[in-house]
Amino acid sequence: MTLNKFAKIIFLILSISKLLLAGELTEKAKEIIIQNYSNSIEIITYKLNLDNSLKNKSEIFAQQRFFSNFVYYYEIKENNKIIGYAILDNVLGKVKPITYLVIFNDVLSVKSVNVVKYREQYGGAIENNDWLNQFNQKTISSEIELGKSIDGISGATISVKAMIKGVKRLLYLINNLGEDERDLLVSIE
Amino acid sequence: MNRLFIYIFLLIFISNLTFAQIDFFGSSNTIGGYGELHYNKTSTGNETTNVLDFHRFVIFYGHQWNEEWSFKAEVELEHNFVGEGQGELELEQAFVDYHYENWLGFQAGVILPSVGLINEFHEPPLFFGVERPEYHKSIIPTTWFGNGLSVYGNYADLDYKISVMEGLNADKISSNNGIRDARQKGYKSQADDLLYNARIDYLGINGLRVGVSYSYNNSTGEDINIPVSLYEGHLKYIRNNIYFVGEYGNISYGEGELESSAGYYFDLGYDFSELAGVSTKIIPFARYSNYNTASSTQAGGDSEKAFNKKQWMIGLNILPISEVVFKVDYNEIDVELTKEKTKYFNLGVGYMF
Repeated sequence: MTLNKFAKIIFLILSISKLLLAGELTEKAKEIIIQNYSNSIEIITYKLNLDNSLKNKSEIFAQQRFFSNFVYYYEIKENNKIIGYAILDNVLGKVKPITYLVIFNDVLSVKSVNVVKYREQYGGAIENNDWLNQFNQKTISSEIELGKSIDGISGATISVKAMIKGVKRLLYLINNLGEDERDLLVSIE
Repeated sequence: MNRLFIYIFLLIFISNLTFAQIDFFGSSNTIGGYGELHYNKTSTGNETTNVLDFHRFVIFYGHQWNEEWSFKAEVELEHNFVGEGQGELELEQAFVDYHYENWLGFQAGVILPSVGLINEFHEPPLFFGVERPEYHKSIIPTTWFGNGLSVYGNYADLDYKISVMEGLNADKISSNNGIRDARQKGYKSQADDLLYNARIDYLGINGLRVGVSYSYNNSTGEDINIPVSLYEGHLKYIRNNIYFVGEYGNISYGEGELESSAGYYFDLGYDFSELAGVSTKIIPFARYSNYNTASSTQAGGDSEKAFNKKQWMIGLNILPISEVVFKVDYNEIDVELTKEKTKYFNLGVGYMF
């Protein structure tokens, strides 16, 4: 087989598999939520347009700006009772956004942090479950600091710091979502 | 048939890009950089020199077109001067990157082979000591860059990279500098024999990076070809305020008088910021290092002692924020053959963004 043919076949396989895998990040987020609970849950997806005041306060709390003016917000129900929430958002790594999903239980502590899509060469190790598990059970009043409650990853410093702030930002957001903000929820189902 | 293939490919490719644009993504530019100012006081016997040197000034520029395609470049000015054979202006990285998924990416251009802890992560706040470890000059010639391509990825706690790039210049391999002067640095590099490099790291334990790499090149010279093989192992562990770094490397040469170069170093540090209740990181450290660019020669005897150097160092890294570092260190280097001792006192300030 010539190299040329070989390269074409590889590209073709990659492109097709990519197309099949692509899907939407929001769908992948839902799969992750189901993995965290069970098949019997109901997930309602909203686009949450961020209220300026709440957005600013969250940014100041976490010392990190939001990537855009909205996030995806999920209510997780079982037998018509809310058992948790999740937020899908981005933080900026060195040059590209990292799409991550934070799942909160009904008392607003972190149930799990998940990397939905990582896009850079270095720092992919933040997908490591042991590292992500360090955020579990954290609440708005927990100390979430690199080198203290959260260990770093050699070669992934920027991603690690971005993720820590990203989790803090969403903890603030979900703890301060009032009735007014909930009115801004737009179901996209 | 060929045309049909191209149409199908284009169709899939375009639809792919459209999908990739969903969910938050737009093209953007990034600027970054790092730099370091050093004060070096060097004493050998009765002679002392004092030098202030803005050792490195690096500007980094990146652009991404979409989720998968991006470009990155890094330009470095060394010693704040270029001309008359002094200082250096280098294009250390310039590559197009295709990031398919986290487990598979590809880049082509001026790239960095994946050798040791510092070649790819060389910003001043990331290592102990004002100057880079001597091991990373004598054994691993950081920053080692050249024209080529890489495939890389991260999967199941493993991080890996395979590169094929320009080889080494056999004529410039020497007992006193190993392969350092043999790098072609991307300058119209001859490509008769390419260098193959592979590295794998394990990152499954929080705070730990441990891995190995192997590089091979049948280096080409005017009259002689020297097969060069380099293997090295590296470990970095940062947890509970403890810093431990260790690296070992060995280069074997298949031809000529020089048979091998080898070396290692260990760092141990402790971050006192938590004990002191301050946010500024205060990390005293100690290093021991032994490196020999002519650890084995055909002649043996004194020629294996002439470049055998032992170093110990104590120092302090202070980081008010994690991107800015102030450094101080004191170290002594002994040469086995001459028993000559050189003492160094260094101060430095470095930054990255």
